[in-house]
Amino acid sequence: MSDFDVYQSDMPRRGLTPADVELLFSTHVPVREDLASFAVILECLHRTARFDPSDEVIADFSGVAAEIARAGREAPHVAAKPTAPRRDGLLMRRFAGALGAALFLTGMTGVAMADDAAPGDVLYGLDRAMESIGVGDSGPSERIAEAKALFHRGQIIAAIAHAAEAVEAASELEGREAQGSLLESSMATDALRRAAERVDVDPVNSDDPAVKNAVAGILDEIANMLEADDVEPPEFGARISEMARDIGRGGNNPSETTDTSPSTPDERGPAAQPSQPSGPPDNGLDHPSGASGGPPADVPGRGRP
Amino acid sequence: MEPQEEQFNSTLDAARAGAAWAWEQIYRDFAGPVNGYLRSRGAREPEDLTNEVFLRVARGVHGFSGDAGSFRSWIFVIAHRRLIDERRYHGRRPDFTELDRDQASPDSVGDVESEAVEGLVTAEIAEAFNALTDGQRDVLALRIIAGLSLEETAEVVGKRTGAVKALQHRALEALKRALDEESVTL
Repeated sequence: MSDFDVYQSDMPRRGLTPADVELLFSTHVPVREDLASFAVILECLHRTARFDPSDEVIADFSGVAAEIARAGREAPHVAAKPTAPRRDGLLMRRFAGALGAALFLTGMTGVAMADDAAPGDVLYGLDRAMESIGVGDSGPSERIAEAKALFHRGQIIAAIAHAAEAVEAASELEGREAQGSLLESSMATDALRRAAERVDVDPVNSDDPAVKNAVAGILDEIANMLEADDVEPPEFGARISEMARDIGRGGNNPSETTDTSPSTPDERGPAAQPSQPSGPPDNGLDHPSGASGGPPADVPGRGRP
Repeated sequence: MEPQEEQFNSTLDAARAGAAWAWEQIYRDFAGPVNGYLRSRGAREPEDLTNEVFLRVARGVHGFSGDAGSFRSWIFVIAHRRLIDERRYHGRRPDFTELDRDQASPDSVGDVESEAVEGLVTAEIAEAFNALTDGQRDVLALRIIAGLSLEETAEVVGKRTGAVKALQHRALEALKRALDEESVTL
């Protein structure tokens, strides 16, 4: 006797017959008048939970998926049978590597665009999704690049919070925990998050040139240290903590803050120019979001229609 | 071969070849139900998780074999497993992520009063839904929100069809009872 047969044996005590159930699921048209209201409720449940994507999201996704599928022809196939359990681990990492190489060789565009997306972009959700399946960068360098993108849009608080993610990601790099960097990194992450909270508490802080300058300096510092792979303890965490400590406390002095940056403008590259510490007053330092001369970008939602 | 199957096969072939139109069609057909399923089961970031599911589909499509029904099941198997992984990672109780009240009753747009009333009703439906057992919610979400058949649902949750039949029956009974007690009608 099946589970359902057992269940059905005491049906008379229940309100719904198997036929009712089938009709409720198949057409939502009840066979009994007293079920009409319930059928409408099920329809409401169906309608409420569904969330159809916008045309923009569909277009973005289609491009990226097509490239991944195209590249997948060149990469080894991994468990895709309908009922086969998915295997993570080494096999998936190998596949991701092969897929990444194939994507690179096919000159992907959508994938690269998504990979460059920052929080707030429509493509950012795809970017994180790609990271989760092993395509695209997901390390601290990408996080700090995203933090810089946020900074240049004038989203100072989000930029600081993202910098904390970058530091956290750096501490998770293979072997770093064993070297005792976790505590220092954790202190740096905390210091950054507290700095973000301080800036958040007082909106004036977001427009304070000294705060912007200090944040620019810290982003550059993290980027430079990551680039140089100079994130060993205790210097990395301690240095970031020290720089983050004064952000949003008032009385930030741009020259003091920026004097601590060891990098030269040439080392920073074009992306870092607005935060260049030794530049003249009108070099963009006071208006990091206005590199293009305007207010912070009006950023669309994260993939929601 | 049925015309629908033929159309599915040509779309699948095009998707494997990397045709954007084919992926657009797949996404249009399935993203709403997948997103709805993930939201109704308490995914933290349903939009991101939906994208991840479809990127996994894109990555695995070359190894897929089967008909349209199998394809639908496969997509939801991926979604279901990703959901379980996410729950395991975050260790949280699944329930409706949020209710989009604008979607609850498209006809009521512009009528503030009825929107407010129907928003309340929808919240009560969600509450009743969240009071079901995990297994019951899985089955109802897959059948009602995702629109899967009994067999497809059984495949996704890894149970026999008889067990799913019993689960869905109990779930509907419990949902109806809860809503009757609250006197929820639309």
